[in-house]
Amino acid sequence: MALVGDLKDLNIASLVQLNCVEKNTVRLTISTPKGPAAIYFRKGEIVEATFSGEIGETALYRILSLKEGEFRVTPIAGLPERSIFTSWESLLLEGMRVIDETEKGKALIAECVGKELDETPEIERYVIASKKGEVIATSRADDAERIAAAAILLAWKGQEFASRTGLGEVGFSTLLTEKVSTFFMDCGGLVAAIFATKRTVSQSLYALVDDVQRKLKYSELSHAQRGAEMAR
Amino acid sequence: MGIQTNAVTPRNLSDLLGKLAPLEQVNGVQDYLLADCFGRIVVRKPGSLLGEEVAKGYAKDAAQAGEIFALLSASGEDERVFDFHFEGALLIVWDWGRVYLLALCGEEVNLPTTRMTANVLRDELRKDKRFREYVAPRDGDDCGLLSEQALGPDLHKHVAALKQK
Repeated sequence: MALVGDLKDLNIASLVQLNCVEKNTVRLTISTPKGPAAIYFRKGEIVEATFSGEIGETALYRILSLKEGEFRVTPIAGLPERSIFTSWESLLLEGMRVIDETEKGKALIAECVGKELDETPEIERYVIASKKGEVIATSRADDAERIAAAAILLAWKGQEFASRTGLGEVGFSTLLTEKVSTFFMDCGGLVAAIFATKRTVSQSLYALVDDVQRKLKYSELSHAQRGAEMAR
Repeated sequence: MGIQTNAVTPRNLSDLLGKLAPLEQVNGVQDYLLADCFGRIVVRKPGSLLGEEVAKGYAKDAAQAGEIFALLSASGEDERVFDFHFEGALLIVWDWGRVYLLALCGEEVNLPTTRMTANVLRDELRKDKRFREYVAPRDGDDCGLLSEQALGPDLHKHVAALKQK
């Protein structure tokens, strides 16, 4: 019988541990917005993982960083070819280390983007935050959490618009008031709000917004994906 | 959180549509509609190609986004325009108080003309006593579109953060 649940209730590391300790031969699949992820266990050993075009340990480390999604554990007879030979204990430890480095990398990129914005005369202030609402970089801290909250809600609204209308992804949204124009961006796991000093939006400002969004989305990539991106 | 009861009611629809007709002359404006602050359609462009459900979705999404922007903006700012940039389209929304004007535009849209036309339309509505209430400032916090019931607890916690002054 399949075990079905949500990662909000049972995290991925616990699920891995459970199947390894129980010496299960099963497939653990997780539904994510980037497609299905799968980990294969044979008699309690992790033998293969696949996610978003990646396989083996690279895929496993990305799966270990998932925090949301529905999971399903099902018994399996025909396993894929084995590409993982490391013990599950070592894999979990290494996974935690990679996640920590990825988080640091994300924060570093956000800080670098912030420094660029600090030096741009057209920008009055900015806020870069995680979708949980944690402010990562900002030029002015007084109401950064409020602005982050608005950016998160608008990112959600943009996704609703996109799925409802079929017009494709929302690149960014802008708010024009009497005095300023503000850009709100959805950058995967991050959101950003940039306040321009003028109400009139120039082409160079659009280009800057595009650049910021590209860099923040890049910070979301795994180590392997960043390497491939750099090579391109 | 106060639920607003003084939303606009659809009256004089044909006259109202007549007021909005100049939008059809603007290059790149493909569709338009007027929604109230509850996210309900007041009037739509005659012969609109948007399906009924899609149009209702636009109205609701725009009203919710409008409430988010209203919470973020400084009090006293009554001029708000916001837009969503899609891959090949642009949705512009004018917050006129008790109604939102939505214009769905192609990439080729003439933005200055569109904005100028919308401002002229707003001024026309302000001058006309039959429609003045449409562009009157709203009262109350929001229309329930950002309530915990409507959003769920995960998203609503951000609305609560947004309301912190």
